[in-house]
Amino acid sequence: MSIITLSGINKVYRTKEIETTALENINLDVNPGEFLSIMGPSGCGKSTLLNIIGLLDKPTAGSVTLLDRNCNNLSDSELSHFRNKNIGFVFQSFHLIPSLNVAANVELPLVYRSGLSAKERRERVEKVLERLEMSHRIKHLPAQLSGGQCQRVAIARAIVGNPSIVLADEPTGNLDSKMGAEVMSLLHRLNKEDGTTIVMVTHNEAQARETDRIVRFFDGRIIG
Amino acid sequence: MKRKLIYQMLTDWRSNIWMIIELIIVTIVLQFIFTVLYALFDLHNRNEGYNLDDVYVATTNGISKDSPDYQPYDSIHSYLTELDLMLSNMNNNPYVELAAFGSNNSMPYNYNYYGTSVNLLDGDSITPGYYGNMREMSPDVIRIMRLQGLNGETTEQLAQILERDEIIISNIRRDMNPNALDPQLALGKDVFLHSDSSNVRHVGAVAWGMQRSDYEPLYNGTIYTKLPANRWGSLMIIRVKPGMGPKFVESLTPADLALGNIYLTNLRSIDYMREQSHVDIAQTIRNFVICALFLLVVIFLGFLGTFWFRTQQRVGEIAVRKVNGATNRNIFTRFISEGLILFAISALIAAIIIIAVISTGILDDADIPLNGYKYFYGSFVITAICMSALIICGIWAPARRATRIDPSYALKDQ
Amino acid sequence: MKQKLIQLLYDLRHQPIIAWVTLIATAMSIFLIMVVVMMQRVQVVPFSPESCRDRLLLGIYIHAKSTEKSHNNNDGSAGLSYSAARTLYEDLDGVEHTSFITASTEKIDVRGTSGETFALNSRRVDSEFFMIFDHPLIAGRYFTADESASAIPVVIMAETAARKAFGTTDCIGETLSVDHFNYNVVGVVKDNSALAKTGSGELFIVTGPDDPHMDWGNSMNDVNIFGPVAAALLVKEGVDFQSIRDQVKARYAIIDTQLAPEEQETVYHEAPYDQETIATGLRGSNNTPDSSSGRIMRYCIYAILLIVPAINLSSMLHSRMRRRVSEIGVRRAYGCTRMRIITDIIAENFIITLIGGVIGLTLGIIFASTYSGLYEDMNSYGTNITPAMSAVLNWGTVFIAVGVCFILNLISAAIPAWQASRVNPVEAINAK
Repeated sequence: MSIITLSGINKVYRTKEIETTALENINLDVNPGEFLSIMGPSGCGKSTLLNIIGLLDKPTAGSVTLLDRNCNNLSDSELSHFRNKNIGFVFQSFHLIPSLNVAANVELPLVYRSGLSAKERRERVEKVLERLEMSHRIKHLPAQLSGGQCQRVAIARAIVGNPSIVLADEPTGNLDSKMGAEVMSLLHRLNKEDGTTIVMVTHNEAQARETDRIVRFFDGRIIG
Repeated sequence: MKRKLIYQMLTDWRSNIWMIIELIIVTIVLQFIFTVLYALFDLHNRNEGYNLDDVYVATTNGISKDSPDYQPYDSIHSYLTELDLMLSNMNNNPYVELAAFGSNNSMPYNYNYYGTSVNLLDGDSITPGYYGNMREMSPDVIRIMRLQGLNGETTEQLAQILERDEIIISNIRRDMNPNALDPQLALGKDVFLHSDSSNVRHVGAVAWGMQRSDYEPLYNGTIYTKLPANRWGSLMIIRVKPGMGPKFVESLTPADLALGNIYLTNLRSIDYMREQSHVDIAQTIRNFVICALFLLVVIFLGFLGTFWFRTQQRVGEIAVRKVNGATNRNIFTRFISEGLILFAISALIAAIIIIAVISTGILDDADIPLNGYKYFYGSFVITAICMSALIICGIWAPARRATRIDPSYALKDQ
Repeated sequence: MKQKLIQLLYDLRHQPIIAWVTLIATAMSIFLIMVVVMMQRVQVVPFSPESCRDRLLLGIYIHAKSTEKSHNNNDGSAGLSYSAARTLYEDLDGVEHTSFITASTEKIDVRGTSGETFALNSRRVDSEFFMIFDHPLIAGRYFTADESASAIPVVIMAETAARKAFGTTDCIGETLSVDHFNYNVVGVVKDNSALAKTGSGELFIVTGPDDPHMDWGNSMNDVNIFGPVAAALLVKEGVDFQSIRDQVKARYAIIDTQLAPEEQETVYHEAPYDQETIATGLRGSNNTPDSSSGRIMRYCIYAILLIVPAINLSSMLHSRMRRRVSEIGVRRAYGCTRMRIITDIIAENFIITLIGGVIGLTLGIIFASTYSGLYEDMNSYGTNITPAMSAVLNWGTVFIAVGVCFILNLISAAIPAWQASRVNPVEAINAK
């Protein structure tokens, strides 16, 4: 009944000279509605794991099952559609598209979804921005926003398509503590109100402790 | 230093390879354009062996007997007597040095093909022929043209040869007509015209041929013959005193242009005829020049854009170089050398391709004689100078920008 | 679409050099290509007075030589005599109108009531000429079949020429002295461009089978086949040109029979010719026309004008994409497929190409319609060769311009777009 099931995940990076093991025999189950944080030192493989869960990267061995669907053998375009429908991403450095205004940035996942009219898309964007109290910035460009506001827009973009899973890679890493706290409370709210499953990579022990479960990583292995 | 630069360029090979392909194409096209322009320039500036500055031409016409304007002649007058009278009137014009009649193709810049073959009357053996355009003219036209002989004959001697009703033939492009008779072999001999062995004439001299265009080689020779006294001269050819052309034209009254049943039309200078006959070639030259300019501007824009991006990409690297003591001049020349090395590689490949093309000989058939390697070196140098100049111009601004990068950026970037 | 325009404006502001280089290079390339296109199209697209170009065929030369068994070695070619033209081209099946005319104009001196003598580009034409070529009348009428058949001395003048000769276009019935013969002016038509090589003229002089001007007399043979005559044929709608050529070829046999006693025969060179051949293919009266060398040259020019700038544009686009890798990574993360990345980039680039294309085409049209040096050749020197605007700017030109933009866009954007689509989203997002 878990929403994310990883079994026996290995990830090895090979170049001509060296072979680096990023992940070794990872088994992980995440339940629907769970808020999970992943902790560990830099370079321990937690971001790699998040990318594998997000179907952006493929494991060298092992299987990834999301929403009861085995994702190992999906084609590139099937993966794209799956991500579009079911997964939202929040990045440490926001990754808003600088040339697009707030509304267009938030709209992005809907653009790649068929069957939505421009009007429906606009309504959904307005609704989600209102919910995140960013309506007044709808026409602004990312360069005109503060870091905290940028991350809110990024969260709005992550949830506008109603995904079951949101993956957040150090979402407060580039923010000061006050803004970081705001963003965290926002994620908790989404988790509670919508039942969205959230997997978050973080360095912040305090933030991690507030979540449902902590998975600790060291050298590509889960240690607790 | 240079080796390291080449090594760095190799790592950026993907974008460099496209620039090299572009440079090769442009080098080849520019080389072709400059070769053609050079060849045309060369043709244009050759010695023609005659001079037509200050020469004017008018067409002679007669009113036909059926016309209401026709004035009947008495027994002593005719079209021809009126023509002669008109000519002597023209020769009395204060601005005129000399006027005379010639056939309608007796001047250059005339694409009349009327011509015939000249064969040596050498026993009964059939000798290789010589083909030339027939240019009939009174001996005074030779004087007007100031025609020179190929064996040192003066204009006056040539005029007298024509006076004696001998013919003068001209040089010919024998490399294009390898089977043609060498005109010098016919000098002083009897020949026959029109493939008719009863039509015997004496070759009195070999002179410079008359051009149909300044840009056309002499595929055919020129046969200068005397305009028979009883023959209508379709052209009146007039040499005016130096620089007096405009005054001469102004001075003409309707009476000078019409006499009895004879009238002159279409008075024009040889300069005008030259310009008119070169319209096609002028258009070709213009198109080639525009094409060359376009390609050079494209090269300029290409280097400007590409190197602008490269300086953007290499901000960190440049800053590190500066931290480690590179001067602005080092940075600047590094970018310029990068562009010139790209061009040197491309020029080498382009040269190999061009030499391969020339060696196949396909260019020898072109309308404009490109003469194998004759123009290759000169035009290659011009191509290389133009392209290097534009490449340096294109890289200038990005390279300047690179020198202004703040070294402290290195620390930030690391 | 709107997003793509916004992106372009953003690039112009944040990547000015690269964006401007892209725009200028595109505009220049399209400009030159379109100038070459228009130079060629002016020769083939229909415009007044040659609105009939799509259905026009021209019989213009004849070539005869000694038969093999003959002892002579004669070989001659030139325009047609009136009788040869009639033998070959009169009453062909599938032809609506046949007109016998002089193939090119000739400068002839005229004098009207204004008293000034001046030269006009004159063409001798019969009454059918005005059924084929459209010369809108300003005053008077066209030639009648009678005038043409009995060589009654009448002329039709173009507007400006009429004004110069009579000070007015209201000169019907006036006498014009043409080469010292008196002609009656029966019509005045609008001015026309000498770019219409078969149909243009400042003065139209009536001609017919008995006109001595159309007879060169005998030159090479007793059968009089050479002369200044050309036959213009207006082919019926939907009739295949080849069927006309087949009939004409069969009629060459009649001339061969006439020439047989002199041990001569005709050489057939695929006559009559369509507009493209007339405009670009004629290689003298003794050769089969061939438009292919001109066409190959043109295609080479197009290729150079497309490929060289395309390499630059490609590298500019590549640079712009390198600045946007993280954006591409995010888009991929949010479900954009590789194909969508490619099509989006090509579409986005197409907008820049189109904007450059509009600038280039506008400049090209201004240039092509004002700079007559573009069309000058030896025969047109000093005459009015400004093309009609309709010949330069029409849907065909716009369609070709859009097509050229599309091709330029495809060859310049294909590789960078494909490279962008292969970007690994993980690396793209981590890259900074």
